[in-house]
Amino acid sequence: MYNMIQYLVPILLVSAFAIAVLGPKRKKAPLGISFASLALSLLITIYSAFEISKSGIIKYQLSGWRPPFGITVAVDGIGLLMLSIIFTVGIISLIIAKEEIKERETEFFTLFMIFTLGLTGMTITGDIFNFFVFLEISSISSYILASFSREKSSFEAAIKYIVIGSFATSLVLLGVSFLYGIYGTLNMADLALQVEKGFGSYAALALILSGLFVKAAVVPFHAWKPDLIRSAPISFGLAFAASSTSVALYAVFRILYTIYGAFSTAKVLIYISLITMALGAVMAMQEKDLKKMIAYSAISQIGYILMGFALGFFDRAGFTAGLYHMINLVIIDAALFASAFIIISHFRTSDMSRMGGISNSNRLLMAVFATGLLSLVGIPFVNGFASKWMLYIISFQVYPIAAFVSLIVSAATLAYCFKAFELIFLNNTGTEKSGAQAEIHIPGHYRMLLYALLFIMIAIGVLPDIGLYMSERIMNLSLDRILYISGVMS
Amino acid sequence: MILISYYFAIIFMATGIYAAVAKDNLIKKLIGLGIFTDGIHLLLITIGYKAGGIAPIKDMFNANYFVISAVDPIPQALVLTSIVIAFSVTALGLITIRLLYEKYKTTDARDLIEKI
Repeated sequence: MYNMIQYLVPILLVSAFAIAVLGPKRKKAPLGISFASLALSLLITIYSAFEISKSGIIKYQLSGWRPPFGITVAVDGIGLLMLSIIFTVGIISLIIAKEEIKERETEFFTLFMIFTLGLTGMTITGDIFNFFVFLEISSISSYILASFSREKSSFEAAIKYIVIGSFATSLVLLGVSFLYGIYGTLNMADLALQVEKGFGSYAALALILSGLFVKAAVVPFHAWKPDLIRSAPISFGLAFAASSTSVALYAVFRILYTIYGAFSTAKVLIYISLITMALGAVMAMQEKDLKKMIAYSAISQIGYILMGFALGFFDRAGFTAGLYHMINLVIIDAALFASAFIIISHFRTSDMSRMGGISNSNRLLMAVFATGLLSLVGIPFVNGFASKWMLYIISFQVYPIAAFVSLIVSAATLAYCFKAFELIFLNNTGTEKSGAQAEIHIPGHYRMLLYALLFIMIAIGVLPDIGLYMSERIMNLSLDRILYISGVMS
Repeated sequence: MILISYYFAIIFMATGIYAAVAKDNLIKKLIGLGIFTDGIHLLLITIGYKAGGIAPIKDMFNANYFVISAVDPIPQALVLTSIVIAFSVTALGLITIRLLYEKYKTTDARDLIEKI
């Protein structure tokens, strides 16, 4: 069977170089090349889905060196899901970037391709140092993209992110070096065979998880994310918030579950996830800035996903619930960021107290934004409901305090979502400035994007079994450690 | 046996963290990060050390002697990769600090917090 996963990294790399070379001469080249390469990568991912549903894992040895000596490319069910998230969110971000990036396009699209390359490499690799290298690739390109708009506030966000982010990836390197020093191998499957309980392996786990939690913006380490989302271009903000977080959580799953097996760190993870949920919701309630509010709400939902993964060590269905919630969060973030871009570029400010009163003539925008907010809360018939309900049930059976906290946080979510909706759309007084009651012109392809997102959110809401079935099948493949290890090492 | 370079690696890491946290000047923070990553690199190379070992270049030795007495070449490759990564992050950090200096005329972190 001819597998094509190994072509993903070269395709993205070649497209990055092509944009850098052809961009200055032709105006339309950067967007076209990026779109083509992301579409091609998505096709390769879908094509590989058939192979994975047959044999459970796709494996490729770089340069033919046998495992565990060479670098393995190993994609199983959850890796495939992460790849499809990366490429789909990338295409949506490109649609937003078409409207948003009007200058220095060559830079933006080259860096965006390299960012996607880093995330793809992180997902498909089966070697833990290779994972660190791709993590650094995506981090460095995001350091540059963070200050892309070159305003004063973006440099402050960028320097904060550079210092915290490089410290975090250095921690990952330290953990990897501990693992190499103790076990003598860098291959993930080989480590999964050899790792035992002991001070050294626990120390390495703590270091790697701390670094990855900084990347995923879990609560004690989240301080850089809201400023970044506020000052980066919205198209990159979407790609970053949706893809980078998902890949970081995938890495947490891979290291904690596949390499370390079911060790007893799950209780601490539950506490961390509860604090993340609560703090994200509390900070979102105080925010006047639309982009920062969406960032804090994303942090809060990441707490839910992490709680699902932590509960999975006690009750297997927790992993399925966490994964389902991750899929829903990606769709919700796409909808929120896509409508936020239209709103912010219309009002020319992202301060919500200066917006208002566009509900009469912008039905599509209002529908998409409202559906996204309702999904965040977890109202039935929109897509966040089923995954949140699963999380409530599982947490109530395993650890009732977690269910209690997550229900309260959902109520707080409703508070800030309703406040945001009211400030942006319904607030009719005090808006004699430009934009009141005006019909915002949305370009045709952007309109199609909004309709598609609305349709997907309501479809998953009305028929939640689609998402549930997909998550269950993916999780059953990925929870089989023996499958992963034997698939790589054979 | 604990080699002395492990102790130095820990001292580097501690000094780097101290500089990154306690110093006010942004450039000193960046230097602190560089010292921290140097400590990690020193730790990683020392993992591959073998007492009385030879450099891992198979010129004239026969295979058995070479495999038994060469130091481990993998940490050296890992550290080379990591040095290049740290170099590009440092360059990027310096550019950002320079741009911040142009806009705000200061590189002191406390002043920047007030000005922004």
